[in-house]
Amino acid sequence: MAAAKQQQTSALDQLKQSLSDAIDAFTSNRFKILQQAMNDGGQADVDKVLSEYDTLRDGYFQLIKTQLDENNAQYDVLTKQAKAETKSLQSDIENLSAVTTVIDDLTTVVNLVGRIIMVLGVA
Amino acid sequence: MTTMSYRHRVQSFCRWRTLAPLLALLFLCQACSSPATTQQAAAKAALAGQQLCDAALTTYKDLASFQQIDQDQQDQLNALSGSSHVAKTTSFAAELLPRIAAYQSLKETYATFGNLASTDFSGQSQKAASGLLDSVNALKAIPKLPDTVTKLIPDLTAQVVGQIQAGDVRKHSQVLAQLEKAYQAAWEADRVLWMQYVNKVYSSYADALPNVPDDAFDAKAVADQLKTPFAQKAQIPLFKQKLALDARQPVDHVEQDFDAVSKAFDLLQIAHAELQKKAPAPDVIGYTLDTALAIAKDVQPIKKQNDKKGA
Repeated sequence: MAAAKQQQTSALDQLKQSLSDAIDAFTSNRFKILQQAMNDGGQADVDKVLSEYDTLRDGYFQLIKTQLDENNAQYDVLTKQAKAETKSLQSDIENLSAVTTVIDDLTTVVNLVGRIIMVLGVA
Repeated sequence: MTTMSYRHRVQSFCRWRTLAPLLALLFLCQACSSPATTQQAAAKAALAGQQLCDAALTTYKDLASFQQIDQDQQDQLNALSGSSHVAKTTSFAAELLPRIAAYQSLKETYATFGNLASTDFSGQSQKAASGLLDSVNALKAIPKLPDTVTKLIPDLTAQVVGQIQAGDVRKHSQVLAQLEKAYQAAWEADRVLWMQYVNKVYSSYADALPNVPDDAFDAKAVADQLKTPFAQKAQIPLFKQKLALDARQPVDHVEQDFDAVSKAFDLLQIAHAELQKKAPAPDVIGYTLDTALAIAKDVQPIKKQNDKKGA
């Protein structure tokens, strides 16, 4: 499984390299190629060549996107882990706050007992 | 006589049954590190973590801006060759979204860690315990607690709560250190691919510039913009060089963003490893987090260069 994936990645990298070389070759000779296209078939041919160049570049970028997309699942897991940790932190914050709340509640009860004692005239 | 005997019994009980364990606990608490130090360091770590997430989010914003940069540059080259063809550029929005969501979640985690660290739970519990004791002492039917107990209980409550809080900080530092490691691994795995993208955007433009016919430029406008003492025939090649250098800036900017976030991750992990210790070294944490904060703060969005690119 891992070997197959590695082989696939290697093939993808090779394809990417080929596309990258083709883009670089066009870019370096862009104006000569476009001049030639203009001489051969006018503006229509220039636009056609430029559209093909766009497609070539898009092909290269799509391969990068494919490789980035392979990592997307990792980010979904990381988001879930971060959210779980936030929840755990919130729970601990609530527990720490609860100490004060419990003591405050006890104080309220004691004060209430004090009032009852006073009203009943026990003291 | 009965009252005296009752008070004596209460005092005796407090002395041997209550005071002894309370004093033992107090001793144990003081033997540990100062919770205040741990809390301050953790609060700083939370800030550094949030700043790191902001730096990562800025990097993604910068990467998103490359589609427009690419569009402008390719359209400019098309115009220079006399074509009105509008270039087709590639959007990476679908790739950026899950990454942005992941860093927004991590930022929220750090903010919550900051709440855990910076809230004065000790002070709150101490105040509450004092209030309780005041209420108990106000009850005339019950004999007053000895002054030693009245003084000791709020302090001890605060210390126990402080230790629980410090323990929580240690526990969560361990989890955060693991999370940081996983985030950094994903960051590094992506980095090569993102740099391939931005470098190709750059080279598709910069490598074409030397062959742009000189008559595609307005020599006078170029001379006005460059303001150099060189002869006119040198001005256009210099201008092409300037265009390429300007186009390089956002690429270098993104590379620096990636470096900064990687370094900040390294430093935060050192700080969180230190925070897991019972007695963290404040100077190690202080220096590490100050550096991480400064590095992450340096990550700023790319400034628009549209006005510099006019040919």
